[in-house]
Amino acid sequence: MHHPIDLTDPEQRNQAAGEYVLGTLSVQDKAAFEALLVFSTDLQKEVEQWREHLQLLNSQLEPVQPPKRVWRAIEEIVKPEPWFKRLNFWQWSTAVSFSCAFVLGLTLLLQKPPMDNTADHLYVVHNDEKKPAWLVNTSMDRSNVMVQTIDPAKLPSGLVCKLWLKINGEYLMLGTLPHNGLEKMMVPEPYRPMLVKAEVLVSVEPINGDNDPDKMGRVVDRGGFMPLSGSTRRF
Amino acid sequence: MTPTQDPEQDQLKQLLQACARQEDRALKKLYQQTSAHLFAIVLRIIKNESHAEDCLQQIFVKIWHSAGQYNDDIARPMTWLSTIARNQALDWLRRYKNDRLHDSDDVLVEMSDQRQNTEHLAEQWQSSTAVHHCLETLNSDQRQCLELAYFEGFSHQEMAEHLKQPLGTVKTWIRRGLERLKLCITQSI
Repeated sequence: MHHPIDLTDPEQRNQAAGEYVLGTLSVQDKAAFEALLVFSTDLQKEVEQWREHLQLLNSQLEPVQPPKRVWRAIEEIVKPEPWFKRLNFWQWSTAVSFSCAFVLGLTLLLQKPPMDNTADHLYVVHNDEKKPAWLVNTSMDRSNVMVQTIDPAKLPSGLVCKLWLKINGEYLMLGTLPHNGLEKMMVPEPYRPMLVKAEVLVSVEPINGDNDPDKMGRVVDRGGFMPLSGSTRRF
Repeated sequence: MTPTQDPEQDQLKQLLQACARQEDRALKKLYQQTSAHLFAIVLRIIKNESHAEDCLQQIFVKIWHSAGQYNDDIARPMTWLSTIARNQALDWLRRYKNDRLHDSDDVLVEMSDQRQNTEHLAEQWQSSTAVHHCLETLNSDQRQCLELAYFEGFSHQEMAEHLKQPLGTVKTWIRRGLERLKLCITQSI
């Protein structure tokens, strides 16, 4: 049987403060504790003191340097660069991506498209004018994606765009986005079942750069595949 | 701001105050100084490097938006930052509890590679272990319970099941562990 903590007893109250920070108070005790915590500055101090005590558990951990891409992602959120500074090409936006993919999907349904006629998921990579730059289509058996060039961004010499997938937290470089025409990119077998759930990323890389995700260049477009329901897989 | 005896903590306070004024350079400096420590906490809780990266990103965005709430009379900056990191990581862990979250051994290899790049941080970390001996005063059961609760978010009941021990025993280990830790730290300061 559960015996509630007596919060009028200083010892039990201090112990409860420790367990509150630790996260082991029962739902009932936690509710009673928090009700008192709102009013009691002494108790608030005790909680902060326990946070300091238990900080010891954090400070025993050996520091681990996060990959550089984490800071780049934070920077993009807290200090988005104006569009004209973004290497003068496209900016990404999930909302725009969604609406463009939707409109494009409808358009493609009305005409016979030139692409792989088994794909039913689409991702649209946008250029700096928010117009489609490439279409990335998944094949029905998920063994590959077909990339069709529409209106790609003009990159400074020596730079290319690479297509990545993030599946179950793992980054996979599929290939370099073409300057023109169609390009088929194979998807390794283990990743195929999760292909349409993958996050798609486009990064700018040096032509001869390696494909190490830790050294991934600036991500200029990212989002998810759009299911083209009702298309009966016509493209 | 009242200056303390610890220049590192004072600098972090100043950076947090600058973040509250939305000075983005301060956030970068704060990131440079604390991200390796906070990433270690997040990795300890989440254990999956990719998820930990995403979580760390959320943590710094949160710090950026809530730096104005930091009160140096109440908490030391690193404790405040660590609390945000731990809470965010535990929330993440609860949200993704049913997903396949734990990486293969590859993650450990990657982590050890990264550690080679953090030798200077490790030295710093080792030199700041003035009160670390307090953890050594705990017996292995007490320490394990505290770490399971703190880093894995285990309840008493979950711990009892995990350790195959009676609930009362687990509660006693935690209570005595906390008492011993508090006593040692209080005596060390």
